[in-house]
Amino acid sequence: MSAKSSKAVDSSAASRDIGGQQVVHLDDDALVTLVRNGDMQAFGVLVGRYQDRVFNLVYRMCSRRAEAEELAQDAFVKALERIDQFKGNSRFYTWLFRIAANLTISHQRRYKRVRFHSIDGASEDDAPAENLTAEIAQRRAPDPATAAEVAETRDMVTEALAAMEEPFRIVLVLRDMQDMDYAEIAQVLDVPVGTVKSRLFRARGLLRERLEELRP
Amino acid sequence: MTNREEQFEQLSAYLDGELTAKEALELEGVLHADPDMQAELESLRQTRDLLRQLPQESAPDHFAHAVMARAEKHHHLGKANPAGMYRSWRWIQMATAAVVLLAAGLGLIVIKNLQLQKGTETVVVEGPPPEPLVADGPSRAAEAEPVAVPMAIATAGDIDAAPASPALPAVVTEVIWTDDLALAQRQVENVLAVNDIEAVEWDESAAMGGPKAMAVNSYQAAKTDGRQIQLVVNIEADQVDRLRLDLTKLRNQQVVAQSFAPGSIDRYESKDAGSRDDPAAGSRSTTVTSDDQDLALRAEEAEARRERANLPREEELAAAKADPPAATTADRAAAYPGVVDKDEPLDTIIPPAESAAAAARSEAPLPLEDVPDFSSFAETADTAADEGGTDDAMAEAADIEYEAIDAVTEEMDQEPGGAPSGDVAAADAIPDESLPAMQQVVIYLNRAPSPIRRASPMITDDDAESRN
Repeated sequence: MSAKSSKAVDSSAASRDIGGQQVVHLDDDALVTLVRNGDMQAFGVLVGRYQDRVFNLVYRMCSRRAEAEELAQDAFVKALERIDQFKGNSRFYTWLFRIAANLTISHQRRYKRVRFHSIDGASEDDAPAENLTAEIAQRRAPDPATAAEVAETRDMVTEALAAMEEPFRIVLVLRDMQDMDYAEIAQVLDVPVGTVKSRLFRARGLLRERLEELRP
Repeated sequence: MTNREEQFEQLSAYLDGELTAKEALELEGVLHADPDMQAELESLRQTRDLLRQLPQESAPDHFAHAVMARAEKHHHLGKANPAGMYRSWRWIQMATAAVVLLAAGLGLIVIKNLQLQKGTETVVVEGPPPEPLVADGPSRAAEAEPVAVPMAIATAGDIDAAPASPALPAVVTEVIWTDDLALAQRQVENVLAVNDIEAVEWDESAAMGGPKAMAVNSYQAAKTDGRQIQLVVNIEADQVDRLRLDLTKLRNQQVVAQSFAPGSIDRYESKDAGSRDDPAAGSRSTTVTSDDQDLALRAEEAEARRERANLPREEELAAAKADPPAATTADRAAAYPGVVDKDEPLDTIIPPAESAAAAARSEAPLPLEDVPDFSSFAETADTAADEGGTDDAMAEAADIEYEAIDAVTEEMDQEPGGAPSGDVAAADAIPDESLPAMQQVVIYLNRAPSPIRRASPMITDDDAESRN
C-alpha cells in the first residue's frame, strides 16, 4: 500500500476537532449508531473525518470548486437523511462515496457540461487564486525549471483527467487518488469487480493517450 | 478477447496488487519473456504514478459548518435520542440566538437576546398573540396567555443529560388578503418550499393542537371554509424573519387591500387603508420589484426542483379530486353586503391535503430517480469494447437514458436483493416532542371581496361611497 493509502485509512487523525473529544475517537460504526439516535455531534465527526476525501472525489469529477463544494455538502446531507437505510453491510465511507459519486454524476449528466482545467486561464467561476497559471507562477522551488515542469505535468494530467468520460474518470479517481481497492470501488459503483478491473485498464490507456496528445 | 489481450488487461490489476497469487505468478512468467508486455506494464505504472502525484484537494475551511447548518436546517433528526434531549452541535458551540416574536396587529413585541449556556433557559412571550383579521377565523383567545418556551441545551459529551420538557411554541399570525385563494395558496406554498419547509397532512383530530404533532420546519394546510385557507407552520425561530419577509412580498403582490376585514366595508373603502402592517396598503399595482424578482427566482428554483422530481404542477392539480363545499352566494352576499356580485362564481380551492402531499413529494431532496445505473453501463460498454467498439462507441454506450430507479440507499445494501428498510419521507414527518421550542406561524389566506377582478365590475371609492 502506498503512503496515500495510509493517509486514507488514518481517519481519526484526519478529523478536525469540533468538540466532544470523547466522540471524535469513535469508529465509524459507533458514530453511525449515535447519528441514528439523533447525535449531531457524531455526525459532525463523520463530516470532519471524510470531508476532504469526499470533496476531492467530487472535485476531480466535476472540476469546478464551487460546484464540488455544494455537491459534496449534498452528499453528507443525503447520507444523514438516509442514515436509517444504511445497513452496515459495507463500510460507511464506501456508502458515503457512493452517494457522492452518484450525485455528482447525476448532476453532470443533467447539465451535460464538460469542464476543463485550462492551463492558460482560470475556469469559468474559479477564483483568481485557483488559476493554474498563477499557481505555477507563485510556486517557489530551489529549481524553478523543475518546479515549472512538474507543475506543467500536473496541469496536463488534471486536464486530461477532467476531459475523460465519467465512468473512466471515476475509477481512476477512486483507485489512484482515493486508494480504494477493487472491491470497494465495485461497491461504490455497484458493478462487479471484473468490470472495475477491465474499466481501470481501459481508463489508464485512455489517459495515457490523452496525455500524449497534450504533450508539446 | 484473445489470451494475449486478457494478459494485457491483467497488467493493470497486477500493478494494483489485485491478482490472486496464482494469477500473479502466471503473469510474471509471461512478463519475463515478453518485452512488449514489460513496456506496457512500465507505461501503465507511469500513468498511474502521474495520477497519484496530483494534489489531494481539501474541503474549504467552512465546509463542515456549512454541512452542519444544512443538516440542522433540514431537521433530519426527527426522532428522540434515548435521553429525550435534542443534542445540537450548534448549541454546543454556545451560539447566541435572538428570538424575535412579531405580532401582526394587537399585542406586544418582545425581543430578547439569549446567551445559550449549559442548563435550561426559558423564553417568555409577553402579551397575547394577535387576533386574525377575519370574521370567520378561529378564535385565538385560548392562546392569549404568555407562553413559556423552555429550551434545553445539551452539554458536550453528556449523553445522559436530563430530558427537556416539550412545550407549546409561541404563535405568530400572518394574514394575506387575496382575490384568488388558489393562487395565493400556491404562492405561499412556494414560499414555504424555498425555505425548505415541508408539508405534512392535516391532523383533523388535533384541531389547533394539530401542529403540535408536526416536526419543526413543516406545515399543514387546511381550508376552513370557501373564503379562507389556513396554513400552520412550525419553524425554527431564526427562520421566522425570512419567512415573514417572503410573506410580506407576497402580500405586497396582492391586488386587494390588506387592511380590511369582511363586514368592515368602511375600512376597505378607506383611502388611507390604515393597515397595521403596511400604511400604504390599498389597491396596488403589480409592478415587479427587485424583491419580487428575488421571490420569483426562488419560486422558479422550487419549481425547477419539482420538475426534476418529475412532478408537473398540472398533474398535481389534476390529482386533487376533493373539492371544497362552495359557499353559497347568499353567504357571500351576507358577508359583503352591497359589494358582492352574487352571480360571480367562487374559485375552486386546491384541496390542501393533496397540494401539501404533492409539495412534500416535490420537495424531496435531490432526485435519485435519474441516477445512472452503473451496472447497465458496464454491460453495454464492456460489450461494445469486446466487440471492438471505438472510444466513441463506448462513450455512446455510456450515455444511457435515465429510468426511474430505487433510491440510491436501497442499493447500498450489499446483500443481494436487499429490500428498502423504510420510508424516509415518513420518518421525516415523525413528530419529536424532545425537539427544541419552535416558532409557530399561522398564515390566514382570506378571500377578499373581488371588485378588482377583471371579470367583475370595478368598484371604485366613489361607487362605494355612493352606496353608503
